[in-house]
Amino acid sequence: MILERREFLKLLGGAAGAAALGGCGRFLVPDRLVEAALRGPGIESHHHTLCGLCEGGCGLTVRLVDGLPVGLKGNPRHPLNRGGLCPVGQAGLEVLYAPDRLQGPRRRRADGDFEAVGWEEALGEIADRVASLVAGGQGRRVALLSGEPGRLFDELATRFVHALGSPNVARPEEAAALPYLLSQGLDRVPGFDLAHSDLVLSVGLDLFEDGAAPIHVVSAMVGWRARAERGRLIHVGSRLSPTATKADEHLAVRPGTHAAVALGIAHVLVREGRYDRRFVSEHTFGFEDWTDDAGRPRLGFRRLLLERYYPDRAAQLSGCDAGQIIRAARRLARAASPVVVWGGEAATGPNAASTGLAVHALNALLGAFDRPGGVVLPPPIPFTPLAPLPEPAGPGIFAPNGAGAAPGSDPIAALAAARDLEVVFLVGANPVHDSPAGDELAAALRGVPLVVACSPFLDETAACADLVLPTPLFFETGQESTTPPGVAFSVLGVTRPVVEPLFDSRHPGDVLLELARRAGGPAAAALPWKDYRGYLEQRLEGLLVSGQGSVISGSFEETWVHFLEERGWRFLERGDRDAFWSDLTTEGGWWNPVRAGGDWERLFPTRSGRFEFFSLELERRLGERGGADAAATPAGDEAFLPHFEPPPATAPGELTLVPFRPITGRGTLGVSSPMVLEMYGHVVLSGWQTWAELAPETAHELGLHEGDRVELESTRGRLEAVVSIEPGATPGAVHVPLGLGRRQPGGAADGVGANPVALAAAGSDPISGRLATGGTPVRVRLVERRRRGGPRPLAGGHG
Amino acid sequence: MARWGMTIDLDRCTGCGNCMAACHQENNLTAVGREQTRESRAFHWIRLLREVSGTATHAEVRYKPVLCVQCDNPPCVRVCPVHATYLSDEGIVGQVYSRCIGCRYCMAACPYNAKVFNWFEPEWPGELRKKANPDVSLRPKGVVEKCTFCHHRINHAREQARFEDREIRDGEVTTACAESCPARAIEFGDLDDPHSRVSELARSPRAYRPHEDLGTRPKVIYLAEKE
Amino acid sequence: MSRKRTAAELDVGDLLRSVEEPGLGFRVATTLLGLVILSAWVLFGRQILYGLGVTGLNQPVAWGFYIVNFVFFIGISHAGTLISAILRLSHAEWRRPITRMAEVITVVVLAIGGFHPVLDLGRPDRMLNIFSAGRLQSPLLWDVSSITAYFMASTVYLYIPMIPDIALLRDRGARPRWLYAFLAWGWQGTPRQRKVLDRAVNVMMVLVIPIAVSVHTVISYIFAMTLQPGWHSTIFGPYFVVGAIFSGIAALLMVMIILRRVFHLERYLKEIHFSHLAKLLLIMSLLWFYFTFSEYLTAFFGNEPSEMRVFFYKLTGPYALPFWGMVACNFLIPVAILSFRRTRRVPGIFIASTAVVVGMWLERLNIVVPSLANPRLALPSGFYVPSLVEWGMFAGGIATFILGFVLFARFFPLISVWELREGLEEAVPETVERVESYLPDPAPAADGG
Ligand SMILES: Nc1nc2c(c(=O)[nH]1)N[C@H]1C(S)=C(S)[C@@H](COP(=O)(O)OP(=O)(O)OC[C@H]3O[C@@H](n4cnc5c(=O)[nH]c(N)nc54)[C@H](O)[C@@H]3O)O[C@H]1N2
Ligand SMILES: Nc1nc2c(c(=O)[nH]1)N[C@H]1C(S)=C(S)[C@@H](COP(=O)(O)OP(=O)(O)OC[C@H]3O[C@@H](n4cnc5c(=O)[nH]c(N)nc54)[C@H](O)[C@@H]3O)O[C@H]1N2
Ligand code: SF4
Ligand code: SF4
Ligand code: SF4
Ligand code: SF4
Ligand code: SF4
Ligand SMILES: [Mo]
Repeated sequence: MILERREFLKLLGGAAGAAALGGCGRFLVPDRLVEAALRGPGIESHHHTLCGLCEGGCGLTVRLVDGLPVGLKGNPRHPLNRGGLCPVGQAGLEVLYAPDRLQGPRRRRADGDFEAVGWEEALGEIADRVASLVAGGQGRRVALLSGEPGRLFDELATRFVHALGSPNVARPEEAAALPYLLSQGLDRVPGFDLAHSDLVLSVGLDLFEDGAAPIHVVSAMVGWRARAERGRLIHVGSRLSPTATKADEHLAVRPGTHAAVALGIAHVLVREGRYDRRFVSEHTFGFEDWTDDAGRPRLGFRRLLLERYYPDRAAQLSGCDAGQIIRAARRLARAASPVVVWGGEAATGPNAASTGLAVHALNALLGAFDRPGGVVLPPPIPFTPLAPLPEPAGPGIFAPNGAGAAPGSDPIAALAAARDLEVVFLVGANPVHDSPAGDELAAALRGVPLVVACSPFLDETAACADLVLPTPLFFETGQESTTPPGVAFSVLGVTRPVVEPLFDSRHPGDVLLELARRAGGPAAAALPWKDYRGYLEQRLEGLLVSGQGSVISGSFEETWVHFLEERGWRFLERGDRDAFWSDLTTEGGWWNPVRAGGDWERLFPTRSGRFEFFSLELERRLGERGGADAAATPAGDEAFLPHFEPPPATAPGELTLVPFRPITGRGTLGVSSPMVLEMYGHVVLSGWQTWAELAPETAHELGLHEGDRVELESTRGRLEAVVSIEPGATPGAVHVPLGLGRRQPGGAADGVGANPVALAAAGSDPISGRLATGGTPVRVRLVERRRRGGPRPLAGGHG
Repeated sequence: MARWGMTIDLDRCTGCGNCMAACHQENNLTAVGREQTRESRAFHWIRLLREVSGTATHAEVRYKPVLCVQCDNPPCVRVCPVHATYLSDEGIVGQVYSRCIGCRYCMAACPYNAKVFNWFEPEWPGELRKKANPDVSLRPKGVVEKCTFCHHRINHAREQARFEDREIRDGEVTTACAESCPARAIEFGDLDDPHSRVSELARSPRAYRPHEDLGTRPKVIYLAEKE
Repeated sequence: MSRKRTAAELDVGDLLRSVEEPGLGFRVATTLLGLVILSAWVLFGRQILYGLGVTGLNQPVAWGFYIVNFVFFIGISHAGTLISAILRLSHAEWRRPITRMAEVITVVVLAIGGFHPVLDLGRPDRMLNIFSAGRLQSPLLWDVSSITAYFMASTVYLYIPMIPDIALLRDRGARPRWLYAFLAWGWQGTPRQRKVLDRAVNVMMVLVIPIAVSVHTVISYIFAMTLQPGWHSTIFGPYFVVGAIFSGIAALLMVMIILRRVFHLERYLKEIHFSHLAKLLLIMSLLWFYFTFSEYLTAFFGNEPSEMRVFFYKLTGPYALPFWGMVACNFLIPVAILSFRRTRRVPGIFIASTAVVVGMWLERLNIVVPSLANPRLALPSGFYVPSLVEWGMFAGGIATFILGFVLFARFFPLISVWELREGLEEAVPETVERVESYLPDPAPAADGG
């Protein structure tokens, strides 16, 4: 039906041609006709696509009238979101039509301003430089940072960089995966089968708003409370988030002390003997005291727990109630299929990795692996494998595997610290805004001869580039996404364009392929595809060949899925490649919910082949660094076991800054929508501004009232925010939303609110090396009392 | 004839706000911008009400989506001087934007604060107007508007039904907010059909109608949280 | 008063001086007021162009100054026609120099107040929809009807007793001649004409009283007919009428004291007139307090949560200042001043009546805003700060009021000449006769008969 639009456009021949030739290329359809089309009884059609505004991978259905998109809703057949969306996804069309979208490539002039440049010239310039680097054996001086959601693009980008002879390719956000690597040997976040769990313990993670795919979580847990065995949620966190308000029990803790609660719960489970003894003895390592090859006695997790983490101490460390810890432990023990998840604020501090280890240890004590409602591995997606391409030897600027144990192994800090880079590609990410090392990165990029940014907007990161190449939005191009972290089944989203591109933009995949072609030599040979779609078609053929999974279609009613699980799925009928491709892109993707159980090697690819309470990998890494860093970690074996790392101390009068991501802050593009900005703080009735949530006690101590304008100051920076008093928040914390404080001239969000990441000064995680965004001690100072009649009192008064 | 009603299950609602966003997009609402938001003129046809209860040390916060409850006995309709807001046969309280004189009497009279006013001409920055839903009229400055139960969708379904020479059926039509709620907290349907999903839910012991004591007879019914 | 008084004593020229010798003051005043009014129109133009957003109105406080001033001005209008009609009807002889001013207040202020709802419309261009698509069930339509009727009746009621004075001006050759010739309607003062005039005045004064009472009653219904806390009250009708008469008397006193000063009317407006009206004001103040007390006590005792939010919003919350200011202005100050003969003199009366006018304005503010600011649902409470536009329109309204008086004084006598003449000639014997008729009949003669 997209053809109809083409027909429609053809009809407009002259005018459209003139507009295109005029170089503005803005809208091929003249306004007058658009208006007529909007008014008249248009031809209506619906197409499936994917929301590409965050990594959540939700399916969208776009409604077009006469080829113009006029509405969208969640794709009810998509297994991730099942018809639901978040406000950001819902605003997709506002992002599509955002007035500040880049209309063509831009080049930085000597005076710092950007000028328009043709694609030919821009690509020529990059290709020349890359080619001369490669020719001179200097390929290592190329680096690429990618924030695109799909794994297939990542593989292409990695291949591109490797083919040039450089090992320097990274993604900004892989830190959350480290605890799973250290304990379970996985290089990514496993799946959590929340849909079938009867008790979920979420530690720090605001499940319904934050995490990789919150809309999936909500739709998976639809009816969780309505089941005969009412699903329950226990939430541990310092903020009274919407998720915390939905929890059956909320353990309010001091920021960064989540590990203490997890260990306290572990203590109760172990002391009362209510852990899964069989699982622990068969599938874990390091629970009991043990003796290493050298004959040295080593500390076991049990002894550590029993000696150090009795509930009263856990309560004292975290500020919650010992009774709550005990009750939570008993509820977990009683539950049939409990599961524990971690993230959000617990992953923002400098003790994030150790918190993750402590939390994940609970899953092992509960035997929550490889069972419905537990920690599972989604089946691999059977992509057509690529011809092997050796990774260039020698250390690159980025830590291997995205998770190193050395300070400075934060990819952004590493990029900022790298010397001698000549070409840097920044694709689909905005680290200058999102990373605590953003300012350093911006400064470092100024010294790089050629910085290329692929982005639909001239955002903070693109503004540091020498060449900005506009990328199309997902409506205008094929979009792909692969199983988001934490999802319990495999899903691949892939779509075709549903609207005519508004501007002269190119998919970054096409850009890389074109550059490889122009660079010639091994690069051209390693990336032989005509275009990105050709690459996708080849990689996805593997799905067809494997016969696994199915194109998404049909209903997700629990009973139906049950039926299929019992009777076996109707696997893909091997057939015609074109028909498969057409089905796949029309329906918007493929999924495979069938998991083969009992594959313990795949589940625990650690050195011991078991879940490691005592992380041999961590011991190895810290050993490489010359033993445990005495200053940062406890001495001896405790360092390699789940343990509590105290969060940064605050001086009297200081509060702990806890950044959080509201559901309106998904991805980096959502704030291009005025609606998203207007409802940014919809739960605290705040829009177009940054607010700071304070517990009533804390506000009272500081003499602050609802609506007062305050300044937060850390050693690295300051920001202004409006006070929002949150009953139920932990005293001593100040919660500030992420995502605002953008500098994007001409954009709706330009200059709206402030960015809490700019205040981050809590250092880096001694285990992961990642820079902490949260946990920073800040001082709060009144700037201006709420004007009477100024900003409204934000909290609803009474019950 | 159908009598449209809605149930909102507070046990399911997670306060995500997507109903607000979906309604905003579906019904051609516009953002009022930074200054006007500060002046408390942001408008939504559905929004989240924040209810705080409990004690200072153990506060309970609840989010509740609120919209026009489509009173069967609507105080707003009774006061309008020009028939610009009316109760339709199918129980939907509508607005006639082209007749409304903007006196805001209906706003003052609505006990649910469901109505909003166009203090300025709505703004569509850039090319945003191109995405306007062609089924929903744009409102000029100076008139009152509110949730219409997405009646354009109902009209659509009714036309289809008429074309097929039958009555419109429950389940054939749903509202934008209900459709895109990830928690499926919102159900929409015919309250007069005893077998419809909304009727079943409306009979639940958890069901209550907001401010029923005022005699407004709301057709938006909440299902209280369990536990 | 034994001396026989005649109409000849009256210095007609003195009474007509403002018409016959308009000084520089008239031009200066008209120019200044005209400028203020012009600015108000410019602001209104801006409001029409951009929308009501230029005001401080918002959600949930969607009504503000315009509605407050509407209620306030219409309240003031009860000064006139109602008071003058009651005084005429009760043959209060001291009314003669007062009635004209009272009636002018009514007409001018009604025109201003009646325009306020138009200022408040989001779509003033569609104003006529209330005729083409009007719903008589809406209290707003009751208002439109009632105010229109009151305006008509008041204008006629002002005009009819002016006819002899207009004829007098015509006969004295005042300019513009055509105006007076036209408006005098061929008045020659024949006995038949006088009889018709008397009858017309009598009919109008009887007619105008229920209309006046209805006006503020239905204005109160705008609020009382909703279910909103603080508004939904049966007492609102009489409460509003009492408040209206109260503020009307106060405004009349202010106007009289100012005009007496400006036009040197001390010989006609004497302490006794002020004293009588002031006593009336005192009574109204007590009555106002009684109603206010009943209204708030009912809300407090019922202790309904939504009512209590409005209640405390006024008593201790953001509206404490307007609320207690209202109590001081409407009750404490007037009662303190007017209860004592020593302070019940022109300066004291002026202070008291000014306080009441301000206090009654505050009362209207206290009624309109706090109820809207405290929605029933757990929404954040609102706050309302009027913008420059609304203050400008308020100033424009007051300027129009003053200009109305300036223009009236320029073309017509502020004190009814013929009624004073009539008073001088007929009042004393008539009053004596009337008073005698109150007295017991003489005892039957001893001899019986
Ligand atoms: N039959 C039935 N079963 C139920 C329920 C029901 O309604 N009926 N309700 C379910 C629900 S909702 C819940 S929450 C669970 C609760 O079930 P449990 O977790 O068993 O809760 P409690 O019975 O309150 O026991 C808490 C323990 O903590 C101890 N304690 C209290 N304060 C402290 C402290 O400060 N320090 C230490 N060290 N100990 C402390 C108390 O003495 C007590 O022994 O039960 C569930 N099971
Ligand atoms: N003394 C004491 N107090 C406690 C606790 C304790 O241990 N001791 N525990 C605390 C804890 S942890 C909790 S969770 C709370 C629980 O406290 P409550 O929330 O009071 O829970 P219950 O008393 O179990 O059940 C509430 C009511 O819901 C009804 N009900 C059951 N199912 C339904 C339904 O489907 N629909 C409707 N409408 N009603 C239904 C039940 O009949 C009951 O009347 O109590 C807390 N208070
Ligand atoms: S922004 Fe993310 S969570 Fe929201 S709809 Fe899009 S993919 Fe889903
Ligand atoms: S969309 Fe659904 S879950 Fe989200 S706030 Fe609305 S009703 Fe609640
Ligand atoms: S909720 Fe308000 S706007 Fe809706 S019908 Fe009832 S009174 Fe009217
Ligand atoms: S604002 Fe419009 S709809 Fe509301 S009462 Fe006035 S005319 Fe009627
Ligand atoms: S029913 Fe339709 S108009 Fe009403 S709130 Fe929902 S989406 Fe908006
Ligand atoms: Mo509980």
